[in-house]
Amino acid sequence: MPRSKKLFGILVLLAMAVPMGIFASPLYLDLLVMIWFNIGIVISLWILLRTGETSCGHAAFVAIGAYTCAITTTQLGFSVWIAFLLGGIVAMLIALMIGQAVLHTKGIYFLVVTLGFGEVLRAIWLKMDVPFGSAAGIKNIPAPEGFPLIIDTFHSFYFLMMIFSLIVILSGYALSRSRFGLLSTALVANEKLVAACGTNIKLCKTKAFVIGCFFAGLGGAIYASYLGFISPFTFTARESLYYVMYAVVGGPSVFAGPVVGAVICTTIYLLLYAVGYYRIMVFGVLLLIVMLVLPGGLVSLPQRLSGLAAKFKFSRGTPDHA
Amino acid sequence: MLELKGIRKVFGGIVALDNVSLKLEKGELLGLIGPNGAGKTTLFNVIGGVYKPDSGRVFFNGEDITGKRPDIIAKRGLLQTFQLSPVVPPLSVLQNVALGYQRLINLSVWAELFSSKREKEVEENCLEILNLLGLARVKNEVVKNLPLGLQRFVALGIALAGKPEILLLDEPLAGLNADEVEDVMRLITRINQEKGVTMLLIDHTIDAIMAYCHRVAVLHYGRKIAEGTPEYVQKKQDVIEAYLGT
Amino acid sequence: MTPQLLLQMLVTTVGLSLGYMLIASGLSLVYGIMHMVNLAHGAIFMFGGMVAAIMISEMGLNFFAGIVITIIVFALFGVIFEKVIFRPLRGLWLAGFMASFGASLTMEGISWRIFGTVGKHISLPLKGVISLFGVHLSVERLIIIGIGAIVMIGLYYLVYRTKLGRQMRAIEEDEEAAKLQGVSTDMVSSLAMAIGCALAAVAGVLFTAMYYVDPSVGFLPMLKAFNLVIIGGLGSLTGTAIAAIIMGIIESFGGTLLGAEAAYGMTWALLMLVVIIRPRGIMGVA
Repeated sequence: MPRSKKLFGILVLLAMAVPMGIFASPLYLDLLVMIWFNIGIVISLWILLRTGETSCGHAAFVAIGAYTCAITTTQLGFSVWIAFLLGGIVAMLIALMIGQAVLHTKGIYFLVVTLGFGEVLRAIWLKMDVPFGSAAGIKNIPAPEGFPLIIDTFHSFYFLMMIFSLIVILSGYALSRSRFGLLSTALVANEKLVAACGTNIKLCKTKAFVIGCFFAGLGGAIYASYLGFISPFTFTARESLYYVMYAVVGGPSVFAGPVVGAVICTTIYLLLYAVGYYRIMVFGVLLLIVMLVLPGGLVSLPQRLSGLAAKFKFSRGTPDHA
Repeated sequence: MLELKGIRKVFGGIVALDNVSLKLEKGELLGLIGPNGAGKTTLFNVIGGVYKPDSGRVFFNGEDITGKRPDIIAKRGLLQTFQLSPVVPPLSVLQNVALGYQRLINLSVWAELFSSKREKEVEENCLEILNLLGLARVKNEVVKNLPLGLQRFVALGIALAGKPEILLLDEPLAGLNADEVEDVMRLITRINQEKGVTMLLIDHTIDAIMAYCHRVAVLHYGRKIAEGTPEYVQKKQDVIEAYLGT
Repeated sequence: MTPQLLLQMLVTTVGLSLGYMLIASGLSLVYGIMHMVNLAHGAIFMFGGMVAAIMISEMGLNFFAGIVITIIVFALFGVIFEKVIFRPLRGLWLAGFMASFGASLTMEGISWRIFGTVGKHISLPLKGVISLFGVHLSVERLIIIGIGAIVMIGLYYLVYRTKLGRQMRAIEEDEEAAKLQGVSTDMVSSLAMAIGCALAAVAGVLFTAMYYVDPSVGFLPMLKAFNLVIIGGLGSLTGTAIAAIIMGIIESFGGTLLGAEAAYGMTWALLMLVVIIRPRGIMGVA
């Protein structure tokens, strides 16, 4: 699809997003906020995914941002806007530490370690009453100062989340188009060669990890303010898996993939609310079918349809090259 | 310039390399031959830092680089090509060669996002190499669409882009016909003489190795059984036996 | 800490360790041979317990017959799972990973729908209490532990003393070489999956007999199994066993002394430590 067509399509969608935000009823507004949020989070995960490593602890970094916001606003009296930024920064710093410590691992090792990290954090939040509030979490997280800015608080949050998402989208896109993006592609295709060319692989992956987690923390902080509340049950290992799912269902090899995946999956998940007990089941079946029919993600549909049997090579290989 | 002392590498129960010592002088073109499974590629992997040897040392320009990370060794100026996966298939020729440039520049995420000045510099330098290798026409072609022979040249281009002091080439002549072998060996000789790149070649095309290399070393079952000028090695009894025996 | 309490906790530790060994071994086997991470393992664990509970508690089937039938059913399930999900996605581990996640969500969803939210339990035919050194140990517990031990011993025998086991280990070490020697990867993969699922199901049955089962029960043990497999070292059954024992100790003793959440967190902190210091795990192959 030529560039100008793509750009036009995107602008049209954006143009629709604004009146949608203004006129939607509260139920749909929540859905839309979640969609923007998930798009941002999934793209932030994708920045790392692009280098070939899968993190199963992304939700933990979202939660770090959320808790940072909660603590700095309710207990330390910071401005909420500052708290947002701090959420991103704290998540980024922790990602730096963890990345330095574990990014020499790969594949399944990295996967389980990130999973483990998330669980360690959850145990800490559950156990410590101060400052995390144990199982009850932290309540009464305020909205940013100056709210409501548009119509009312709810609508203001919609636009805030949309702006957050757009920032992540633009950053992700720029990154994937840059030499860093090329390097990531090369990494996945032939890591040995890239290392033999003088690239510090661990550093590369750490950079991707850190940037991705910054956005995750930022999003988490905003979400905490939106929800007004955070607990150890808001972002768990399951959410981490869902984020990976959204990216993979969309198609992890191109930029459009995670966006498509996030939008479609979030929509389906929230709309399935009507189906009650069948919700998880339907969700699972859909995931299964998509993976079996389109292992390269939904984004690979046009390629598949046009008869090219090229399976996207992105997820190829074995995960145990530790 | 490159010195290996007593390299030993064992995999499971198999001794891949047994007390291998080798010296490579600056500007030399050394050929490494031996039957399949003799340990040649393993030796390359040990030199390049992909494997850590169980014992023995590798010295590059006097510095002990044994078991260091491949990217650190590459940054010192020791580059290699790989036989089985020599290129980055989904990228273009130009992008592949530019990859080789990595060791000479520092990758900073911010700089990449905002400076296109670097892009120009890199592209110009890469074009020089592409011209040398006759790849200029296809510079924007995606590598996996190119015939294997050309892909081999791309691999060479990647290594050259890093301006190596020493280059390890793993079977650059595999599967080529006689004319192509000539072309490649002449190219290699040119690079060796004009750019002063020291080279260590593994290959099975004995005639070419004997004809073009300054010195030759022979590996058999992980041990070095001969080393010297091509004439000397060709006449050595053990070598003849090794090849006849397989 | 009285000797009686110590003995009780020892028994608990043994029980936990065996349970973890059962689940983790299945996971390790599937991964080692097919290089696929099976996220449905927990769901199978849960389903195993469910199915057995229905057969034994609600339909009145004999306990031991119930276990045997569960094993057979889930071994078959494993073969089908491998054929339908993992084989078409061979080589695409991320897709396989997500596909198994889809399967696990599906199974969980079905479970909520069919089995509801109320937990089920399995009672053993033998009851009673044995007194050992002044400690009261329930016979039920001992039987459960006994069965678990027997299954583990059976597994060891299979992996280390049979032709199939040798083939499995050959594939784990070097798939290409194994193929050249005539090992059929397809068949071994099928069997590995069958064994893995059967193990998970048995673990589920024993867990249900020891405690209870409901649709939410599978996720956490599976996560712990992942933890175990990495700490013990991929591809090593012994390593998994050692890690299972360590985890059992941390959870029972640590849990009593420091609280459940802290002990849980410690097991993951241990994982991170191992990965940083000795990435291949306790007995992992380099």
